[in-house]
Formats: sequence, C-alpha cells, structure tokens
Amino acid sequence: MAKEKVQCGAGANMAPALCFQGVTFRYTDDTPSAVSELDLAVLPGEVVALVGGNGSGKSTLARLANGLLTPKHGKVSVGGLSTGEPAHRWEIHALVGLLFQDPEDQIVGASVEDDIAFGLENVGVSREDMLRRVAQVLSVVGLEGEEATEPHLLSGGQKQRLALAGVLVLEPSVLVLDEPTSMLDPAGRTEVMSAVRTLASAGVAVVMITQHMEETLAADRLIALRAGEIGWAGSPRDFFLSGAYEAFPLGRPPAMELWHDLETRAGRVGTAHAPGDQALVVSEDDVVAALAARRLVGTTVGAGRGARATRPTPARNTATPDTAAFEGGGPGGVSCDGGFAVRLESVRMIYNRGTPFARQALDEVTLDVAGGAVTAVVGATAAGKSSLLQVMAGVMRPTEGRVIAADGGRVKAGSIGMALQRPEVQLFSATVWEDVAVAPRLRGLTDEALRERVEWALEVVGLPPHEFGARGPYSLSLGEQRRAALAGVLSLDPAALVLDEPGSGLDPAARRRLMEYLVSWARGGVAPATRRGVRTLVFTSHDLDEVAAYADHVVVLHRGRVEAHAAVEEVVSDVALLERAGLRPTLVSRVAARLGADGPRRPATPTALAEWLAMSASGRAGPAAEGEPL
Amino acid sequence: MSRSLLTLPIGQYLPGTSAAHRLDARVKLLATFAFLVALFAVRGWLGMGVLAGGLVVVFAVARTPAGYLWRGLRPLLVILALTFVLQAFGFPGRPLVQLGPFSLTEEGLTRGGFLVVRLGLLLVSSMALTLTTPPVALTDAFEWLLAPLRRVGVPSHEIALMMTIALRFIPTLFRELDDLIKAQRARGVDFSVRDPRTLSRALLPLVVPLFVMSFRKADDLAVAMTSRCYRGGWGRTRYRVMQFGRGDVVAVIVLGPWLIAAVTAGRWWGL
Repeated sequence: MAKEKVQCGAGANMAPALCFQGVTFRYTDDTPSAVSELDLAVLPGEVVALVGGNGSGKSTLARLANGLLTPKHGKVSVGGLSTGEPAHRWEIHALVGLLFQDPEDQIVGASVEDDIAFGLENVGVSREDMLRRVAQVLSVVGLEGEEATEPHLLSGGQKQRLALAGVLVLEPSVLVLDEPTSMLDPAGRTEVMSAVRTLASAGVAVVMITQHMEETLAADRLIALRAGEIGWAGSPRDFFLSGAYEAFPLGRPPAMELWHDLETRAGRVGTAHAPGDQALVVSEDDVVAALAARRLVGTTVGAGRGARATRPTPARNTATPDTAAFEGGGPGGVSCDGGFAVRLESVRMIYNRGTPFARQALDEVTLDVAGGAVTAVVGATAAGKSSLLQVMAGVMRPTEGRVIAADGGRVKAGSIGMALQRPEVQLFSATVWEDVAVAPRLRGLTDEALRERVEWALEVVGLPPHEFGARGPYSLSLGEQRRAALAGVLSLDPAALVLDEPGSGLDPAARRRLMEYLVSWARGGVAPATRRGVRTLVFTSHDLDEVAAYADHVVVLHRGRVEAHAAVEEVVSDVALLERAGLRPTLVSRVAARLGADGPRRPATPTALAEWLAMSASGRAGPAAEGEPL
Repeated sequence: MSRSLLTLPIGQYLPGTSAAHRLDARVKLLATFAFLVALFAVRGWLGMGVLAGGLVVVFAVARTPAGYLWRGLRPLLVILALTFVLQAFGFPGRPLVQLGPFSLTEEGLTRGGFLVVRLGLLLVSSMALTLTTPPVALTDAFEWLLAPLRRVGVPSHEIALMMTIALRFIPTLFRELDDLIKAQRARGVDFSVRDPRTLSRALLPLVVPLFVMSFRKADDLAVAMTSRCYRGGWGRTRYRVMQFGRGDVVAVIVLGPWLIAAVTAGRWWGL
C-alpha cells in the first residue's frame, strides 16, 4: 500500500505527539535492522494498536519512542523534541510513559504510594506537589485506599494498574504499552484497558502493542509490522474484513471466529463478502447485529452437520458420562466409570496459620477428579485454584483433610505430573533433550528406554526431537519453551497431569496449539502410547471459552469452596452460577444474552447457539436452550 | 493469581498505629544498635533481666501477638539449642555428668544459658525493629545514618535504594523459589541430599532458573527505572519525611537510663 507522508511539525492540523521519520535501528552492525525506514505519526488522543509476529520490531519501536534506544538513521521526536538530543533525554523519558508485560518487574517502591512517587522524586518535584499528584493518580487508576499496601500483596490487575500509575504520575503525553494485559485475567484486562481509554480521551497518545486481536478493535488505527517495516496500516476493521490479517502470523478476533463457525454450519462458507450479504462481522457487536438482522428476514443459522470439524475440540472422550447423571449438581456430584484419579476429602488449606497474615485458601473441599477425563478448575482471582492443584499433586500438604490417589494411598509428590504457572522458568539444562530427560533418569530409565521416553514426550507437545532436542531452551520462543517444560513433566508418563494456567501469557495461536496437544495426550491420541489405561488432565483457566472447548468436567471454586462440580455444558450455560463465582461467561453466552436468551440457562457453545437460533426462528423456542446435548 | 505469602520472611512488618509504630525510624534504628551494644556489655543475670523486661514492655506497647514472635523464633531454635549444648559440655569447670570424653560442667550450664538468652534477645530485639517499622522507613533511616559518609565517597543513596529493591523483591523471589521447589519435586528431583559433594548438583535445578530469572528481572527493572527518569541521587526530592516528634524525645529519655541501668547492674552483681 502507498506510504503516507509523515509530517512531524505543526502543519495545518494538530501536531503529532509522537513522530517517527525514516527510522532505522539495528542492535549490532552485523544483525539485520530491527526497525527499518519507519514512518509513523501518532496524534494526541489517538489510540494506535501495534501488531506483528515475534521479532517484527514491536518492542524495539517501544524503546525507540521513549529514547531508551536512539535511531541509527532518521529521527524520532516527541512533542517536537528529538530523542537524539542528549539534552532532551530526561524530558523525553517523562513525556513518553512505557508499560511492559510483567508489572512485577516495573515496581520499585516498597509500598503503593512510594512506588508512584518514585518518578516524581527522580525529577525533583517538591513534596507538596508530590502528595497532590500521587493522590490524583491513585484515583485515576482506582487504587485509592491501597496507599500503604506492599506491592506483592496486590492482585495481577492491581499490580499492572500500579505500574501504570507510576508512569502516569509523570504526566506523559504519549503512552507506549507493550502487551500490558497478557499476564492478566479477564477482569484485570478490563480494568487496565478502561484506564487506558480514559487517558486517551484526556488527550494522551496511546501506542498499544498487543497479541489480542479483539483489543485492537478498540483502537483508532491498526499498524501491522513485518520485519521492522510497516506491512499494513489502517482501520482495525478493514484489517480483518479485507483479509489483510492473513498475511501476518496473527489470528482474528474470537467474534469473527465464531461467525465463521456459524456460517460453516449453515453451509455458507465464503459468502460473507459476497454481494447481497452485507454481514461484515469482526466484533461481538457485529455478531449480535448480524444474527438479529438475519432473524428479522427469516433466514436462520442452521445447526449444520459436520460442524464439529471446525471446532478446536477433538472428539469428546467416550468415557464422558451422560449429562443426565449430573442432575444432582453439587460438590462431588461427578462419578465416572474410570473411577477417580484423585479424591479430596474435607480439605482445608490455611496459609500462615496463627499469624495476622493467615489466609484460608481452601475450605471443606470434597471432590473426586474423574479418571480418564479432562477437568477444568475455574474461579475468580484468589478463589483457591492454585492451592487446589498443588494439594492434588501432593506438593503441598493440606492443613486438614485427606488427598487420596487412585490406588487408595496418600498422594505423594512425583506421582502426579504437575506444572505451575509459567513452567518455562524451571528449564535449567543445556539442551531441551537433557531437560526432558531429568525426570525419567531419576526414575532409573537409561539408554534406549530413556531415549524412547524423551522422544515420545517431545512428540506429545509437538516439538520433533530431531529438530528441537539439541537446542538450548533459551533459544526457543515462549510457546515452545512452555511446551518443552511440559514435556519435562510428561516424560514421567504420569497417569494424571495437573496444570496451573497452562496457556497464560501466550498469544492466542500458541495457546490454542498447546491446549490441543495436551487434550490429545489426555484422549490417548498420541502414538506410541506408553501408558495403557486412562489419562487424566486437570487444568485451571480464567477463560471459559477455553474451558468450554476442551474440558469434560468443571470445578467452580469460589472463595476456597467448591461452588459446583459438573459437566462442562452444565456449568458454562449456568449464568447465575458464573455470576456468583465472578466469572465472565463465554462469548457465545454473551451473544445469546444480547439476542434475548435470558433466564438461568443460555446457549454457551457454538452448537448450542446454532440450535437455539434454529429453534427460535421456527417459533418453537423456549426462553432458553438447555445446553448442548451429546 | 496471587498465591499469598507461602513463606513469610522472618520479621515481616506488621502494620499498626501503636506508639512503637509511630516512632521515628532513625530513633528505632539507633535504639536497636544501642540495645545490641548493651546486650554485649551486660555482665550478669540482673542486667540481662532489665534488658529482657524492657523488651517485654516494647512488645506490649507495639501489641505484637506472642504467637507471631514465637513463629519467627522457632526456625532458629536449633541454633540456640546447639549453642547451649556446645557451651554446657565444652566449658572447663566442676563436672556434673561425664559423657565419654565430654563432661557437663556447672559453669558450662550457666554460661550456656547466659549465651542462649543473649542470642535470643538479639534476635527478638531485631524483630522488634522490623515488626514495627515499614521497610521504606527503615531504608530511609539507614540512608540518613550513612549520609555523613557521603563526603568520603560512600554512595549512601545508592546503598539505600539497593536495600529498598532487595526488600521489594524478597517476597517475589521467595515465591518463585517455592514454586520451583514444588515443580522440580513433582518431577522427582530430591532436595534432601545429605552428601555435601552432591548437594551442589542437586541444587542446580533451582539455582540455574533462579539466576536466569533474577537477571531478567534486574534487566527489566533497570529499563523501567530509566524510563521513569531515575538517574541516581542527584537532584532528587523525597516523598517521605522523617519527623522527630515528642514521642521520640520521650523514647530517648527512657531508653538511655534503662540501658545504662542494665549495663551497670551487671558490674555490681557479677556472675
């Protein structure tokens, strides 16, 4: 596409807050340019979404904007000041606020207010001004009342808002956000995004690097980078509707994905852009509008056959019990032909008992984790998910109660495979192969048996041994590192695997790939299968769409108690239950609600939605569908 | 998600509004030093009793739960017990019990007991400081104390900032370490190694990831600090002000005679 001419001075229009003119940067002379010949102007109050694959130059661009890096050629200017001028250095640092992925690494102060004041202390603001500005920023990010709190006691969303406050207090005119929400749960993500929108409407220019395509839709402009150059620029909607996104290693927004799924069921693939059909669907709003319009003219989105092929879920495990068995609902209501993989009896977990910091994480938890099935544990932040997993895996002893393994004995550490959040940090060997070999070696495997086991584990997670075995763990992408770390657990050939947020921090594509490998392991789909019999997978997730796609059973935790334990269809369609537990319903469920499917139950999966639409179109619809029949 | 404090660092600050909490951190820091000096100058049980009694008053004023103190002290009991046994059996004097080449002596018993009480008071007094003083105030007080040394080239501001950052990251690294231990144990790695020669190898699965993580965090933090205009102590202003108030005057007036009484009491009564 034609290159726009970038004007950095105050022309006829508003002067840009941030301006790149023919900027080229390389880290060392013998590496290719990280950014080359880049032109970009961002106006005050404008929100620009910056997308692109790994190594496309996004993070370099962020550091160039702030003057942490200065260009080899070309010019970066902020409010008319060039970052190349050493005299402007500190002024530019203050004018351009940077926010990174992990809030933990940006917080300096030992308390919330001390951290916010850090930047002000650095530039020598008087104490009276400091008090005023700290108080002001606290209310902008909604952390009033937490002034004296130590940062490590905050939730993820609060931490990221604190990091944002630390940047805002310097009153920047430009805000550069480098994947600010990737480590947060949906609630934390909403908190941070709404704070950012408030700032933009107050005139701050925002450049937001993101992997979440639905977040780009809120931006005024989307810029897609490829190999340090602008590969596409324009409105976010056009990016997806024109199909331009296909040329980049990105996904499309989930709402667009859903629409495509529904269209496939109705046998209309490829007709979305055909003349006469004006349904241009990118966002959640679009799906609702398109479905509503279609109902008005009487055509329906049918529940087509063979639609399962488009779903990310592999065929469901035949061991899944009939939905009718779960009518009882309540805790411990699930039994299964495969017996239980782990049984918890009246488990209570209290941290720091007998101190003012005592906190109860689990309360009277009694449940059987069905053997041979995929169980998801969901709940809001601090509901006790991580504690439950660690107790299940035997690495943490509960304060009270018993944890029993399938053979009737107590669960011991090492008998169940476990990975905590961000397991890639536990990689420590020189090569991927060696790291995966650690566990089986400790179990006494040698030579051929060891080699077979390691290679099998690598195959399970989709890292072909001949390609990845000899590589150093730190040379892999984040998604590959994550899978290598999980291979290091799978190499124990455990009957059960418990994973805390396996997908957190990964981009949507890498996340989906990981979940598919794991579920296919659980379903026994990986040859050669070393273990005969059942495989059990337990994972926690904040994302109910993910849960709906991959789990058989769901345990809903709320403040340390089991709020429900039932088949996935039961749980995801039970809106009242989700609200009680502070969970965000699935995209389908949200769409259905806006189309008038109210009541305690709503369609929560694409199949259920398609059926509900078909029913309501033919006039037989009840107030709501009963979930997805098997 | 937050996994709460799995491991509480000993002497974690306990927020409060008591008179002990409100004291100027500089006064508390210097008082703790003075107390330590007195602790080692004290000669007899009477003096030790005066010191211990004073500490009890301090904790009563600060309203520290006794269970909490005990929790902090518990991990160190082994060291205290060991010290006692070594002294009791190792000190020459009138033998009470003979155990092979070792003999338990009367002098050893009293001396061991005295040493254990001294060490115990040392630990408890430092807890009195950290339990009632936020880390921020403590580092500020420390910086103030070091400030005169600036003239001879001691980077007092930088040292204080290093302390702040260390304090800020201790809970983080503790949690990461805790997770690592659990994760590697779930893979069958055994950390209960007795042989010191294989210990270093057994710790490799913890040390390597912890190092990599720390360096990455340090790097990110440096970038974040620079972009928030940090350029050393030059031209900096302070958000926190330290105020020497009426309570501090009272504390100093009470503290002086108390410590002097403790030290001199020992001179008269002797051991």
